[in-house]
Amino acid sequence: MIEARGLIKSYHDGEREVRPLDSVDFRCRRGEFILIVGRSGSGKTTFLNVLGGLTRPTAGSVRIGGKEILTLSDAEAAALRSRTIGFVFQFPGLLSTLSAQENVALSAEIGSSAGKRASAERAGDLLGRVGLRDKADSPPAHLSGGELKRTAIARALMNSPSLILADEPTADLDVDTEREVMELFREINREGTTIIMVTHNIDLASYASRVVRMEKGKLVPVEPVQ
Amino acid sequence: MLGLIARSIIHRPVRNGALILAFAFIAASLFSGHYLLAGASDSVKSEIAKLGADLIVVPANYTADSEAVLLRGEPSTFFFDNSVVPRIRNVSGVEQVEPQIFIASLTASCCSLPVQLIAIDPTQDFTIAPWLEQKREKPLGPDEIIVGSKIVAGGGTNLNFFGHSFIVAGKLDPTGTGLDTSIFLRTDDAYKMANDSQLNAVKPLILPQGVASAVLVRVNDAAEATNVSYRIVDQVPGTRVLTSSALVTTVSDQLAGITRILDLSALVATLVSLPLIALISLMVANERRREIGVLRALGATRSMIFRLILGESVIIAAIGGIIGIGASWIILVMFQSYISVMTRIPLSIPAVSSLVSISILTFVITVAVGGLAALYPAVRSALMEPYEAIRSGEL
Amino acid sequence: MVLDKKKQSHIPAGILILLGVLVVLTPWFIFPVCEIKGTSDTGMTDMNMNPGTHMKCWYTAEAETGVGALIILTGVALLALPGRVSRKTAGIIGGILGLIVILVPTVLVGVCSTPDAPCRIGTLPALLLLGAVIVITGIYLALSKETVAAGPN
Repeated sequence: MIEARGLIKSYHDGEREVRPLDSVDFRCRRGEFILIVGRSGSGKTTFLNVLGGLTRPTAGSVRIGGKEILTLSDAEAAALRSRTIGFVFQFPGLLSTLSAQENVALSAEIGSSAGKRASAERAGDLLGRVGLRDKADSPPAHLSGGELKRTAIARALMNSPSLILADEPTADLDVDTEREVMELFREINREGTTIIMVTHNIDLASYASRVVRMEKGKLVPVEPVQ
Repeated sequence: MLGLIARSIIHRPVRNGALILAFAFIAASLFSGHYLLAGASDSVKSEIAKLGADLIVVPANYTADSEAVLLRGEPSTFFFDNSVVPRIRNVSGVEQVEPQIFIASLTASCCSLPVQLIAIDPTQDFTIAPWLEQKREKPLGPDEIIVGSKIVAGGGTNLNFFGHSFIVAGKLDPTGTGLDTSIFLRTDDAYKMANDSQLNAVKPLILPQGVASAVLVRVNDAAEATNVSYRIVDQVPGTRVLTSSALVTTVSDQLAGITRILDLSALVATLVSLPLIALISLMVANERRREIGVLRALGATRSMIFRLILGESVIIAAIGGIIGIGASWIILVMFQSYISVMTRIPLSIPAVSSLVSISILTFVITVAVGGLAALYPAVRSALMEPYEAIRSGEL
Repeated sequence: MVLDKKKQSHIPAGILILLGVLVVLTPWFIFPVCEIKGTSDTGMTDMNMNPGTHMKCWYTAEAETGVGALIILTGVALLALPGRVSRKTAGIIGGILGLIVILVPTVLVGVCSTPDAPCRIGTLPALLLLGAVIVITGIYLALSKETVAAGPN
């Protein structure tokens, strides 16, 4: 489903040149659950963001579902992010002016796909799925770290994306919550959503169908997990 | 989109409240200056026209006093020799003349109004008659007076001046000019009053024989009014002629000062606020970098982000503008007379069409300022790469 | 903005106090009423008065001083006892007092009838304006509910 070729990202930090991505090739089939591990600074977050179209590489190509995303217009790229891709960031990234449910429904509002009432209903359902239905009207300030993460996941699911890109979603979470969140991802993956997750925690490998490692801007394959 | 903007405005009440006040101030300054200008010129243009005269001839030495009387209804007493009257009548282009004598009543303090007494020859009068409430069949009789609309007395009331008793025989319609606080009496009665005042009044009135304070002139052809006025000044030395446009200019000049100050303060407010608001918008756009990055990740287009940031500033400016214009409107109307008296400029409430156009113009300018201030931050935010925005927020 | 009980009452209380002070100051200093007792010359005699008594606007000023003092007191009381019941009471009292501020120079006592008198062109509109703002503040207080903390500013 995803095909990335020759991805290079470089920029100049003062005198020296920095290359978070140094000629990366990557392939992924629909329905996979891929874990990208590596040390901090290895470029895995940059890689994820390039895949999602949130940043442009200096060179290379990315095809999602056969379409080259780097040549899309701003509107097309936005539509792609809205409908096909769901993001879960390392930080919760919820708008503090909105309630949990409104945050979840925001995805739909931006894509202006469904009507307001339908969106609200679906948002409520999604919050229920992550176990937060009773907190639907709470503002982010009233939610714990784990609850914020789960809300962010609900938000990513709002538009039924076929691909979820998650950047260190379980960092800052305690072990139990981490397990809950990973179970949720596994469930989503079983339903057919492709998941590409970046993490520095190799112990999560058991949830994934494939693990790759990122080192100094290059992808290194790792033995497949049984 | 609108909901998002509204939420984020409410979310920071103090900061946005201050911004709204800034815009309100800008709008109020702009609006007030032009409201007053419109109100004043409307008022003055009608002065002389309402008097029914095209020109008013006054003694050259008493220009300031005559303007005081005619424009502001500030009572005064001054004369010149009434031998000028037939000479004025003989100037070519003059159709009709009416001499009047101005006498100020004894001034009392505060609420007891000083009144302008105007002695006329009812048979020669052409200015007052059109303004009488009820048409009088017969001319003014002895001791009968006609009062202006603001004088608190009705037909049949007794009024005393300089110890002499008069009866109110008629009341003028409101004119919005100094006439409203004037009282018209017969010249004969004026002299009688002056004589009696030696004995009866607190302060005697000295009224020389053969004088006039002003001569109202009607010309044959209104277009020739200016030429006629030159001829009068030429042929009748010691006189000055006031025309409608001259009075309008006098008032406009006085008012121009005030309007200039208000426009200047609006300009200063804008110049100071613009960079301030721009800075604040920039700061907030920076604060919200991560939020903007997230919105982009969720599928917001660049133009959506642009509209979000710009929209917020425009709406804040609009709210401030409405508050500023509304508050100005209310205060200016309520304190109308006070401002008129304090600035010594005749004011009336401007015509509705002027009010509407001034309001719209002020509103548009205020909103434009709001938009301008947020333009740069809006463009910058829209062009940010989402990943950069998200990353830079992590501090 | 987090507004706890106290802060919510402080601001309107302060406003009431300020407005009360303005009501007291207006007829004496800001837009002073006429001070003369009767008329002594032979000018206008349309003032039906005996020399020695004040004109209407004077009594309006005295009345407004009293009302203004009461408004200040209401504000101070609210400051001292913030809380939902206090706010509602202060709101109702304030609203009524504001109404009185409006009624004194118009219906209850009045000002000079001459159209250009200072009390009519200055003091009257000022008091009407102040009264209106006080009534609005009173209504706001009477109707305001406790708000839950709305999140960080």
